[in-house]
Amino acid sequence: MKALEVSDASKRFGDGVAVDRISLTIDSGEFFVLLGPSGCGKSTLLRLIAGLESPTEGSIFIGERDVTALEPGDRDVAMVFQSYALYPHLTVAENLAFPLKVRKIPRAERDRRVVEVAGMLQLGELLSRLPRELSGGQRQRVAIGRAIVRRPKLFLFDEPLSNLDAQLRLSMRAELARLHRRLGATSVYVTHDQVEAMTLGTRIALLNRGRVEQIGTPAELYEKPATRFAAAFLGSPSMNLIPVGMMTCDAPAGAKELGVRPEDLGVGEGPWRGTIDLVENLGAEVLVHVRCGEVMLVVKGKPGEWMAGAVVDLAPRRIHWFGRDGRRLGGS
Amino acid sequence: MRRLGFASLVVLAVGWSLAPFLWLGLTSFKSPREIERRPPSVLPEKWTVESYEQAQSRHGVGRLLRNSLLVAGGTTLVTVPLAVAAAYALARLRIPGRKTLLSVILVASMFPQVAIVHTLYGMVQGMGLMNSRLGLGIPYVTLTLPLAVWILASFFKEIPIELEEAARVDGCGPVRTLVQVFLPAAAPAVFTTAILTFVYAWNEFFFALVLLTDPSKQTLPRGIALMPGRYTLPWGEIAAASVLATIPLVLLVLVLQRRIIRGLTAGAVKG
Repeated sequence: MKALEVSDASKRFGDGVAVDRISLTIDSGEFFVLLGPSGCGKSTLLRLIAGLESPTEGSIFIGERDVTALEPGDRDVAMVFQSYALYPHLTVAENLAFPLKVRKIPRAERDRRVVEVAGMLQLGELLSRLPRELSGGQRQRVAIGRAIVRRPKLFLFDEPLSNLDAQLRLSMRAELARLHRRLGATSVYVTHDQVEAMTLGTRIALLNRGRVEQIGTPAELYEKPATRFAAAFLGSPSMNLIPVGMMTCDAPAGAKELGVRPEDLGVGEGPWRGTIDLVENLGAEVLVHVRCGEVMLVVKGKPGEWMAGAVVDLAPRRIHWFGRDGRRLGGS
Repeated sequence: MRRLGFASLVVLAVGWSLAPFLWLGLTSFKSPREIERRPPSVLPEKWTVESYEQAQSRHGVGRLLRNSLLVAGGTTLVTVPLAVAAAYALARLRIPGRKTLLSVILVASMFPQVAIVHTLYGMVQGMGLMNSRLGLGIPYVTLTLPLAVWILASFFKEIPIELEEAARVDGCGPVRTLVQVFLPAAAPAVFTTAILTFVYAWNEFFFALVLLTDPSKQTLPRGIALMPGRYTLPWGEIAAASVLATIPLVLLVLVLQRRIIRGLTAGAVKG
């Protein structure tokens, strides 16, 4: 069932285009991730969906209802902000109850739901605290709780983990995944972090300069990047992109660039001979920089097998081809 | 050793600032004869409220106090809501030339009183408001408003807009957002501005001197200035009136202090 449809939506600020004729449909229960570098328009798109900005063109449907002209409060969406945006003068319990109070839900029901959500997010002990007495992770949980308590049609997350330290981000990511599995609520999640996108998303829309580069499951984006931008953006370290002609290969007609992921390169009979320039040890694996003529290739390998200065032959296990327009060539 | 040095510096600074007030307070409890004595005594030999009684019976200090409270309180009650509305608009709306507008407002608050008193006198007289508390209150609002707007606008800009956006998503209309979300977050700024406005109106002397000649309408600073007679300088009564003029301000700051010190939006967004 369709939960959200963005139809040909654009948003212009003065001369700049933040969102450029984007269309997408999200099914109910999906965890849909808007991914892209900063300034790609992902947050603006989320704000269009929330109703905090109105589109210059196009329309937005939540369920079957056209909400383009509706105020955020009338769209039945809940939003978790990057900065949490907790009401500083209200306790945790009051923060959680606030959206229910605004919607005139009776007190008994309100209290019941607050307690339920507090239990779900381990906030029970903190109900009488003020936001300033909480740690970053606790604040983020309250912000998520304030969204859940509403039971909205749609959850919107605007980079909710980016203010947390690395350790906490990891555990909150897992917590979000568990929550989504438990509640099955349709969510739109904005992030610039590909790991968050890959681990949380049921589908990802990769945005670049206000336009959609590719929509698909995490596996599709990784296995079959539709454009050279998608190929370069996903994966760490990112794909080796080499102009055709620099390396010996059987390029299909029209190919301008070839791409090989660092993990798809191995030592072998391969056609590419180079000298190991640098070995970066990451513990479980190493990143090996190999100089092949003018090209520097990055290879992901096992520790112990590589030594700087040695000459190796590399064989690509898989090659992606991209045409002159940056699009993937069919069949590759 | 360093702590001792620091502590004595603090004591010195506090003592330096408090000494005149302490002297004033002690003087107000001395008898007129003791005040005149050379060399002066530090503590009153005999504590007496004679000066306060004199200040009331000869100069009606109670009435002065009441007038001051009415004018300063009224000014604050009008200035602060107007300033909140204006500052909110300036802090949040995308108005072209907003910076210029703010600068102009700041410039307006910097006009020396002497430069405008002549025109003001004419205007107040023209409106038939000479010798009235309203006639004094209107210029006070005009004078305190620019600074109040300016202070509030810069405070308001520091309040994260996500708070209001969260309220909108939660279903609040503009009025509810302002009253239930924004103003509580901005309360310390509002109280600070209220105190500054009140203190300005409370202490203002020059316009009160020019616009109020009728003793029954005069405010405390104006009244105290009139206390010295041609041949007498009633130090005791002046000290008593000054103490009375100070008490409301001290009370106001003490009462509102807690609200000011509570951090601006502590905990609302990431620390």
